[in-house]
Amino acid sequence: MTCRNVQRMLSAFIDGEHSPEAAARISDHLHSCPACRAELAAIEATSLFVKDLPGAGGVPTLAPGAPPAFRRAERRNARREKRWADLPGIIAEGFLECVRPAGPSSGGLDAFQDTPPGSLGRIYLGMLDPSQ
Amino acid sequence: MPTGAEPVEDDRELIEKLRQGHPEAFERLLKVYGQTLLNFIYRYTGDRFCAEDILQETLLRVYRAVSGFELRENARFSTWLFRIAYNLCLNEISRRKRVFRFFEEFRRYCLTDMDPVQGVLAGQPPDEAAAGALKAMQSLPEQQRAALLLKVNDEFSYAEIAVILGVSVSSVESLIFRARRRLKKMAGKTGPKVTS
Repeated sequence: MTCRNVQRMLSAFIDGEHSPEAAARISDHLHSCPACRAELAAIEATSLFVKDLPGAGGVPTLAPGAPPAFRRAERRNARREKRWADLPGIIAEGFLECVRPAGPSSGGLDAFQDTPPGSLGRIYLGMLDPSQ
Repeated sequence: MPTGAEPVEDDRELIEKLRQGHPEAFERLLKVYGQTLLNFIYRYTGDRFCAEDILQETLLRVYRAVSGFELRENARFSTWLFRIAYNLCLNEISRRKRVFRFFEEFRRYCLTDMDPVQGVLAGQPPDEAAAGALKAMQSLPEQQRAALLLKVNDEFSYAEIAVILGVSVSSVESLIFRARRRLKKMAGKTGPKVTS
């Protein structure tokens, strides 16, 4: 094994990711090569550096009220999704309501006659529906 | 303190209790994995406040998704948890980049010396040495940083890191190799930061 090959494998070697055979070959090379041993020490130093990184400190705690808070968030999301899911239907219904010709009156807004007798609208509807 | 690599025998029981919404299951989840997750997120993002938010969001995601989660043979629950946390970290980093660009534009127009990203978004590290160490870590590319942290601090195998990062095992090997080489170069330039 050349030093170049060994040095490329040292990172996985210290992580214990090589097969036992490959690890043994690397160990043999390290015994006889001071340059690769120095490289190994430098790589191990980077691991120590990462291990010594400051932690977040403190003990993590659940947000107040969790998991009930999670359940509330879930319900909120479900309501929001339902609202959006209903929206196309609501728009379609409103649209149909606007374009629907006035039918038999049932009171309320339906009682409003936008085509009073004699108006062009009534004449036009009469042409469409001879029964009127 | 348990690390991400320690096998937790009753993971399946914990998952079942989480599914049923047992309040103590979340306490247990936090007790077993909370500290390691929080440290990973903090070291990855370099921001204490953001780490806490991401941890809570991770728990919320677990709560939402645990009903459909199946623990496969030889798989560990922690791999799934870290994958969720890692993806949330990526979202946060991308959001922060957008905010940073906005403030850069803002500063260009307002001509002030403020640095909102350094001052407000990135919580102040405890001391100068810690700040230097975190800064060195933050200078690594994102995937290299995550892979090295997951290997060295949380003791995941390359195969598990591959699942968490969504890359191949050989990519993980390469990412960790390059991260170490970069840190080694930095140590050469700055002297005592990386010491044995």
